[in-house]
Amino acid sequence: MNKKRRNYSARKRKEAATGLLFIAPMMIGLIIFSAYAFFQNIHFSFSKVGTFGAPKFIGFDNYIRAFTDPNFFIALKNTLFYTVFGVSFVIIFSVLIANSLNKKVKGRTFYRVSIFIPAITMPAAIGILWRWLLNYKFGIINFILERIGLKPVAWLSEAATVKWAILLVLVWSMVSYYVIIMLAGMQAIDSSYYEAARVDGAGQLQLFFKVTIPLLTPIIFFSTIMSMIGILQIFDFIYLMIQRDTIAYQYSMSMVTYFYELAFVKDLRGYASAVSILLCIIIMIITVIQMYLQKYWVKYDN
Amino acid sequence: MKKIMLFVAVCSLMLSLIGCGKQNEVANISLMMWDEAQSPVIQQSIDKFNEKNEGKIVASIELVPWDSYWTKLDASLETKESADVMWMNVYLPKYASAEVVKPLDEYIEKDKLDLSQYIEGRVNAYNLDGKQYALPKGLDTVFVAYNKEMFDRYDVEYPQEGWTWDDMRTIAGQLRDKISEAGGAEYPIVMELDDQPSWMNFVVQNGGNYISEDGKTTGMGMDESVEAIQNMVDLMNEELMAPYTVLSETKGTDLFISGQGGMVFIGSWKASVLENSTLGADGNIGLIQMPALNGSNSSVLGGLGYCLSASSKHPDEAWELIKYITSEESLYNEAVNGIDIPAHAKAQEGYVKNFKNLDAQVILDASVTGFPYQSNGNFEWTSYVNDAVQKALSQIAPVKETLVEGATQAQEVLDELYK
Repeated sequence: MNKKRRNYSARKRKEAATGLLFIAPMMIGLIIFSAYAFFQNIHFSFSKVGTFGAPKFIGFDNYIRAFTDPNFFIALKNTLFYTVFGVSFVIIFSVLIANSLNKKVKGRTFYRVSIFIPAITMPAAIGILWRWLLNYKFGIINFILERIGLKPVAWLSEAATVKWAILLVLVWSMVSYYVIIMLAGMQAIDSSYYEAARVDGAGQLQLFFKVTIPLLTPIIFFSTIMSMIGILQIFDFIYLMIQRDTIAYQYSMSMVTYFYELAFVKDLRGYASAVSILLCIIIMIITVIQMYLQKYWVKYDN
Repeated sequence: MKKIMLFVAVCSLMLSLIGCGKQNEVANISLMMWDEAQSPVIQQSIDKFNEKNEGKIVASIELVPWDSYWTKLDASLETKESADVMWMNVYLPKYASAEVVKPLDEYIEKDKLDLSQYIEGRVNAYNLDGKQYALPKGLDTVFVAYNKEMFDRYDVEYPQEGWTWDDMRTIAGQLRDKISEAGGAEYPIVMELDDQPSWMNFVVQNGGNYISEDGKTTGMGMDESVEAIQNMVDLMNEELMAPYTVLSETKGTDLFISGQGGMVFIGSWKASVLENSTLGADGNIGLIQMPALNGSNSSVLGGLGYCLSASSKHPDEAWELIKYITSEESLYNEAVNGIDIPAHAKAQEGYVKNFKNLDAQVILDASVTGFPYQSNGNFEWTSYVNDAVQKALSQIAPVKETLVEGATQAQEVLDELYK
């Protein structure tokens, strides 16, 4: 090892120093605001942390508390609901939309631009907009329902609908970004595959299922992991669309909304840290499983 | 040449030292607050204060937005680098028990400050275990607003001062019948679902409580509290009040100012919203005290106060500032500028002048019989009872069972805190 290090020439070392210098601003920020915070969070999760005074070590009490707290399981269940349905819908819709945008239709650029609009809109604006669209008394969706002779639905207050309403907004806001990624993936597929398939007599459906989808699997895999991590951390739309002091909040809270409440409303920073660490572990486990499973369905083109 | 340079250097050094010495005589103190809208008016008071204490004290405002106010306050108090004076609300007990804010009793005694010049309920709100931790700045009251135009249209008489809960039910019943006859879609009564402008009032009026005076027991499982919440559920079931689904998605105030509600329980912090609404501008909003339930129409009294940091390096000067910004002169200035209802009785008349469309005297009168917002400064237990109230109001579970269960869970947390 030592011998190897001596072998670096002065120029190489200088180059490395320059490189380090360039990544320093990013790294320093990352170390202070992410790495330090992450390890302090682990420390907090084993402590009782109030507002004043030093954290007091209490071992696994916070974790035991989580496993006996019914609210924690409600939050976990809701989060898994959002993730399972959210990821599926995001992937399905983004592939379908990307596929139709990949064809030579008139005004294709216009459609591509319009489909991308939700991705560049602030989540706050999306949340507030949909809260009014879905409003029980004044919302345009219920207005339309009533016009066609149906009963209005309390989308954001009923146990049966509130999670679906949030899911709708979540998927609507996420799909556009993944459409762009899928589209890029589709355009990278060599057209010779399609030509060969057509020569063999494949129809539109066969082209889609036998050529596009298999060759898109690496991109689908990437999108699944990214969207899953994003949705597991869902917070903003719930926070924006549901008032805290209503029954709907109790139906719809996610892990992160529960974390927020524990840390910043109830002042239970230690317990909140434990909840966030558990969420981190869940994300890691699911991602590792996905990484393992990918060899069974992801086809790399080489 | 060198010697001259040295001389100049030494001289300038000495001058700067003298400068330092002089600066040390002036006490720099700061006031931490969150409301940007109020800061220009409070700055006027600060300017006057600085003028009066020229050469002795220089006070300045440290504006921290609400979103980060409490986080920043906690961190700065912990490191003993906080502002000298700060805005305080119901969170006070948390800071008082950590002894990071200073009791003001010795100063009050020394200066023989007369606390009776302030509204009693607001003084009491900052008195814990016989110690006065803050002087009150302003106050928030709760009262009823009604839509005169709707009452006229449906030919129902306006509520009269001195009315009771039963009178309210009768009036709301008349409205309901006339509305349904005319095929209208309005609601006789609307309200907000959070505690301060709505259910906390009725719970306390009915003899229950949210938290006991010593802050150790919650009374939300008491029969009186259960009955008060049941009363509200009855209002909804008899269609005297808008159903829960409507109230949970659209705030009561918004329903009211858009003409959807006949009456609304409402807080003074919404007074300017009422004043500036179309309904208000047309002179169609009437104000009246809360109806009396069980002989009491006492309503929640909120508001802010000024606290003194225990780690302040200039506590005497900071006290002078607190005393000045809660004086009649300063608070009158806040009142005429319409930023707050003064907690100082004599300064209140300035407030009424701000309103052209509302009878603001009602807002002030509500403070006389008000009780302080019930809180012990801890928010670990509150969600259990608050969530139970929402379950009860939305009727997904029986009222009594839900409230008793929520109160029991909250009590477990409280017992753990005070064991």
